[in-house]
Amino acid sequence: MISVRNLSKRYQGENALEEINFELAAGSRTAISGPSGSGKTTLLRLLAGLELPDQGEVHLDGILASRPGWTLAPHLRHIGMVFQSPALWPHMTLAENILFGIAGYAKSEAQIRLEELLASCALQGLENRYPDQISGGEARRAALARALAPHPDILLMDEPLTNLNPELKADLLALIHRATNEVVTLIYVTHERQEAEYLCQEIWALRRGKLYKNPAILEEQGAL
Amino acid sequence: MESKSTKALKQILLAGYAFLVSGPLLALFWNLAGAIFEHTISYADLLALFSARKLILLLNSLALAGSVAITGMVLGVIAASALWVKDFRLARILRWLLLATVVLPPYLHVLTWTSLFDRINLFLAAQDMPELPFGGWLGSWWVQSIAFLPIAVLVSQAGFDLVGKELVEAARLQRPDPAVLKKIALPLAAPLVLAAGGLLFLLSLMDYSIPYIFGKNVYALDIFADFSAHNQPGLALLNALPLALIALPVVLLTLGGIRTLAISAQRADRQWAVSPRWPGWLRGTQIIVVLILVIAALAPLVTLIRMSGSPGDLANSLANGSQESLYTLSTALLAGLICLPFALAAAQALANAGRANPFWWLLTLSCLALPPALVGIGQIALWNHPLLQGVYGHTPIVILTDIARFTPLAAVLLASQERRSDPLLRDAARLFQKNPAHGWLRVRLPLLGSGLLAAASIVTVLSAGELAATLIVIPPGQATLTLRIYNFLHYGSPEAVAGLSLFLVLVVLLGSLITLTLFEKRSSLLRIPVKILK
Repeated sequence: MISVRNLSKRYQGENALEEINFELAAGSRTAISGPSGSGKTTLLRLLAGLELPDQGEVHLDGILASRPGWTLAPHLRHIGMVFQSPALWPHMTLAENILFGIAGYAKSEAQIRLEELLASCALQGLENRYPDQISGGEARRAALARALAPHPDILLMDEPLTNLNPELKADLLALIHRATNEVVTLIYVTHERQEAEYLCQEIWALRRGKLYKNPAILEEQGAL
Repeated sequence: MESKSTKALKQILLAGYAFLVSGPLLALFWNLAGAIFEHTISYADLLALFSARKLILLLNSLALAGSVAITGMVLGVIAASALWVKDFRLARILRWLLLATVVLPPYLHVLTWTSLFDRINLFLAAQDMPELPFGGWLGSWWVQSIAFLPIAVLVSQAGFDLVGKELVEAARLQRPDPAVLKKIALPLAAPLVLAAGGLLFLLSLMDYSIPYIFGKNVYALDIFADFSAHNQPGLALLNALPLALIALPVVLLTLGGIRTLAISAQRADRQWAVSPRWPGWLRGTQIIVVLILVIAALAPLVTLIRMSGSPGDLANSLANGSQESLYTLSTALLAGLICLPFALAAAQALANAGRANPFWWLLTLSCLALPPALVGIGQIALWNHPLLQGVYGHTPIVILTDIARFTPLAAVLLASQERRSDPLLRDAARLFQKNPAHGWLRVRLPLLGSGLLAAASIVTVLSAGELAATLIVIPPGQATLTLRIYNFLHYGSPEAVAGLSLFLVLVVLLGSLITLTLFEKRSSLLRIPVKILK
């Protein structure tokens, strides 16, 4: 379970996030929409432990994970994250990229997991290629496989389909839907309402650092 | 499209650049060909090149350069990993200090570290403890490593900075920070870490000033000594060939890294929102290395201030060296100004050169890798002609030597700025300008202004500290500040050496700070040339 209490973040005196409060049960699938600069990425980074909050707390499964001045190390949070760009490590093959997060597994176990992910993310035959030898769509799938490899409790996806053509987007969306079934909790950040509706049970909106759990209010105000 | 006259001017300046930086080398080859044709180089001379003494010298030089490069790389990576954190104030101050001290003449560090070790040994002797060995090869290794360490740290750190932030963060989500450093950051920064090692290897291989002060002979010094004995430039070239043959592959290996660093359009994002968690042993090592860096950066200044004696002593030293100071500053300043148009033309060629066309990069880096003494000898070979006596044996040859040595560096610096400037601004100027001169003066010059000033400053600063080539070309009756200091290091009073060195250090630090300010804060300075032109 994710519990966020009074979470705020400022950059150079400007509020990026303002007193965010929510709780997400294990297994929930939530989309967060909002225009550029509304604080979507900042929220994900705070949940992942890549940023320190200026105020408030993040609890994961009842354990304090972040407060001002302290965070639990990102790798101890059991969180997977897919960034806006695939961010694959260019000096590693796809297999090495995927295996990086499961270095503690026994070799045979890691191999089984790799094959599972290659199959579920339609990457078979590409495992020995380097990121510069694959297409943009394949790179996105590989980024998803890498994030899923260590069986994360929570998967954060930060506009993973940005800059893709419509057909590729549709294919990847279906793949994300299939592949993230095993994930306990999904938070999916997007501009696109269709993506959000296809993948998630709930859709929240962020506007100027404030979270709206019922975007209908914003629609009525003409802000959505 | 550029006008024909602009194109022609660029070609002329580019040819001028090639002549100024590679002319001395070409003159040496010409001289060698003549010497072979006229049989002025004997078989005995040729056989002497393969003597056991030369081989031992070469091996000693390689061992010293190799150990300096390895030390620099190891310390550089550790220090860079310490500085590659959340952008806290100490890291920023240290980065500036390193940048400012990177151009200090290496031999000034001898004075600092000898004095420091003397004090430590005095203390140890008072405690009846054994003294620390310092001198000879050990002293040469340590002082060269420390003198060149800022370069290793800055280049390695640039390597870390160029690793994409998301690549690091994606790894941090899956593995602890030490694994991220080892498996992701270090392999991705490796080309620049190796380039730093290559640079240090070359700098150590070409420097004879430090080993000479510690009483050790290296191959680079032998080139100078042989030339002094035989006065045959062609033979000096032959003599330098083993060094050049070793340096060339290192230059080629370093080329990729330096090119990436210079022309990378990516601005480093040093902000770590959450500082990395290093294990205790790494944190301890980082603290020790950062302390060494702080000492290396501050020690020259502090030691020289202490050694220069009372204000009266300092005033006396400066008064005694005033003629040399004036001569040094004027020649260095002229070199810094004259090199600019040539460096700018070369910078454009460097910035536009693709990987398939590395000619200008090869020429530039090869010239930077020439032994300084050989550049000086090459200048003599080039200008020692009855019709060119206005240059040879007079001040212009000193200026031309500085230009030959440091214009390639100015070109790399300007190429870096050229690459980072928005090409659309140039295209817009071409569309709206009344004529090429109008576009150049109102748009190009303001955009380039700070880079040009920075390039001029760096060439001036390095020229002010140049020793090895100046020693060969200095006209009779003249001396630069560095020559006087170097001579004083052997037989002068410590106060006199310290006083003059302090002056040189202050000039160098001031010049570097101006360079850095201009290069880093160029956006706010863009409007100044426009205001002047208005």
